[in-house]
Amino acid sequence: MKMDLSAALNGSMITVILTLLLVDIFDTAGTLIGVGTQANLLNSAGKLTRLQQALLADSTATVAGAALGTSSTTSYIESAAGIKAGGRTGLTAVVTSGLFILCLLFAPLAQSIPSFATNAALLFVGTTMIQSLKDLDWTDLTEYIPATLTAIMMPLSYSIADGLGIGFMSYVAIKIASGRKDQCSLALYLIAILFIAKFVFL
Amino acid sequence: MKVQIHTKVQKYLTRYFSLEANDTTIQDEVLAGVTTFLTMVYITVVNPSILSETGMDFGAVFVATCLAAALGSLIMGVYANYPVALAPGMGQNAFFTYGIVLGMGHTWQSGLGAVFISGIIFMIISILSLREKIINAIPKSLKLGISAGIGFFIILIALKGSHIIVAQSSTLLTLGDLSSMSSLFTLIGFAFIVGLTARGVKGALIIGILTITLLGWAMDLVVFEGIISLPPVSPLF
Repeated sequence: MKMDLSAALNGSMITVILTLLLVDIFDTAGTLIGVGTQANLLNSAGKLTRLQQALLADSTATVAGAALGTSSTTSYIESAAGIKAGGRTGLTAVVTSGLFILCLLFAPLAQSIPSFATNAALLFVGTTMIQSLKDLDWTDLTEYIPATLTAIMMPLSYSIADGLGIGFMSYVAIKIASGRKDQCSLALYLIAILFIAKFVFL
Repeated sequence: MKVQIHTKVQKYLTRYFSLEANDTTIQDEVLAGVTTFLTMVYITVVNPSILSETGMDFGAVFVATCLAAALGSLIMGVYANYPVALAPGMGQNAFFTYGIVLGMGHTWQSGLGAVFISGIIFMIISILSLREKIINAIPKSLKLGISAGIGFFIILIALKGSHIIVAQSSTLLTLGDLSSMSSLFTLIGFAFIVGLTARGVKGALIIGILTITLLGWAMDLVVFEGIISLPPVSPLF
């Protein structure tokens, strides 16, 4: 292992570690919710089933990735393409995993797939994901404004985590401004404050 | 005998991944896994080229990228039973290279150490179910917004990658040259995939990706680099 843990424990690395942590937590949260919604992994209460296992898998991959010699390993939004093709369980991910091992040997073949071929597929997958907006409550602007802001700020800020941050902050701010602060949970307030701190200090 | 083993494996996979309860089949899952891989494989080239700017060895990062993606996706599949694949993240590698190493002047070795520590903290937070509480606290409307936002993000990545949308100093973004080969082939492929899907063809995405790839090879638009090569040695670990 080439990584240097003692240098990373230096005080000047605290902001770096915090940034890595925040981006990873909220990128993963966004990705799992986004693709989970698409794969029908939400239960009737609108919550992701087996979420803790998924989060543990994601964080274990980051630790293993650093030991192997690469920056943070994370859940990929491209998984939406496989879900669109009918993937619903972990067997899909296991197949992808096997292909990455094969890729060690067949690198030239895998790398000969032109970007316009994958871009065509991604364009299709992306456009179909916009469907989820149809389930928004379009009669309540305190709900649909933060949701549309979240959606548009992700591409504009080029970051899932930042788009999510804007969404949280606007949700809480709009609820307070409309005199409906009882509709926000304590966790929501804390996350909004966390993002304000991130945008100001990191 | 061979057929028996075949059915045994099938039965085992069906039970382990609860394929029936999820209304899916082994064939569908394999097709999906290949589709996801084809849309992600670019990272095996892009990640080493970004990280090697820090002085890390390209071949070693290539091996690390494939192994980290394989390991991460395997754990996600077997342990969480989610159809979600993992690989070193695109924003994270840019932050690592241009932020931590080239921007702040840390060595890549200590950068990797920071990634490792952030991962450990992340694991602890996950074990304590703290992250679960965070995620489950997200209102339903924001969840729907996130799903659409990721859709918009994927659209932008594809439009940018195919040069259909390009940077422009006064308006930030503008339409690129639609008659360029990369734009044209992306749009043709897109229309092809939409058409196949609308006709209810299974595996529309894979058929689309492979057809456009073959077309590109046939028209000499892509450098065909060969089929097989030994992985580079001298990994970083």
